[in-house]
Amino acid sequence: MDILSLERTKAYKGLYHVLHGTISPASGIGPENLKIRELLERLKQNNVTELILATNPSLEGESTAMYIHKLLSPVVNRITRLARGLPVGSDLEYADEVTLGRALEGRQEI
Amino acid sequence: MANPQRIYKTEAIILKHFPLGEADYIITLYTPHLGKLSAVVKGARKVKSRVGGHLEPLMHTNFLLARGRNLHSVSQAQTIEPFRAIREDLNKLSQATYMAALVDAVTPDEQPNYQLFRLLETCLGYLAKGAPNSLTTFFQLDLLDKIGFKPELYRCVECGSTIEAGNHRFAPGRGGTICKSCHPNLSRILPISINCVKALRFLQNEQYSAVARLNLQDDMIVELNSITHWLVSDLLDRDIKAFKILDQITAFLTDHAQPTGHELTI
Repeated sequence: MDILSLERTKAYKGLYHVLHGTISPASGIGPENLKIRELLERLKQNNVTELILATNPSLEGESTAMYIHKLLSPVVNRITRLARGLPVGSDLEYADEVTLGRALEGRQEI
Repeated sequence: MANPQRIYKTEAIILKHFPLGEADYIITLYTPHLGKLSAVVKGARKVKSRVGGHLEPLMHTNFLLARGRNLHSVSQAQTIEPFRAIREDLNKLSQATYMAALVDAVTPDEQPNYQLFRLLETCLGYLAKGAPNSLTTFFQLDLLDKIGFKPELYRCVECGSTIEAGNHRFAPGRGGTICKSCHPNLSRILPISINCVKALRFLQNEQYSAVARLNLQDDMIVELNSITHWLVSDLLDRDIKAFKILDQITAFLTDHAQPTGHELTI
């Protein structure tokens, strides 16, 4: 489902690696239940210039991204994470502090 | 029922969440005056949800809840403290998740324990500010105290004699120290060093302000954590899934402790 959403943007022309879940201690899912080893193998065999971590901006997604970053930063030169900000058509009044704080830090020249 | 009103306000710390259906979440909350509750949040996973960002686990949030037939449902939510520093550091995050999983495991539904709420809230606050490595042990000991299972560290749990140096072991199933002359029929009696007994007593007796000045050796932390781990699992009589995974992450972090040289570009 996430791949479909990303494909719809027509902004990404690259390969995907699906992790099949996120690290979630509450549900008993740890790093070895995910396809992280396979990702490491793929990165070693191919010449990858950038790894984009597109996990959900939830607690589980964040932990998974931090874990992968720590594990793979010696292997890949550039690891990036999807930006967090305000959704189109939303209202600042209802934005939560973390999102709004991130959006402010990631502001861009217009 | 503690509060017969159908709609009510409460603050709470979110212990965990599970996706439900297409776009909803079921969240488990720990509230100061109503204890642990589960509530459903309609549409929380949609990008434009008004409440989604206020409902992540380990956030301290103000809620407007409606009591339903089975589950409560969230009508409004406004973050009080998101503990952002915890979310941005894998080590802090796994410690905080451990604390939340522990509170979830030891509490029954809708049984208020105000002191336990305060303990969780303050410890998350300390963790966010950058706490010494003894915080998780302190939290576990204080939690056992607050739920009525304060470990015995001065007398033998079997014969009641005062524990003296050189004559101490630990019986997690009985919740405390045991002398070497007693041999009750227990599945588990652990060896314990005198320094570990002293550290446990200190962590049990002192306020956090004193504990914060204490930075323990790594091997002492390992010993302390194995003692508290057995105390908790013997108390609950089961292993908690979350603990195993958090241990794996902690072990991973110890292996990858050296700086990596690359920063995560955001």
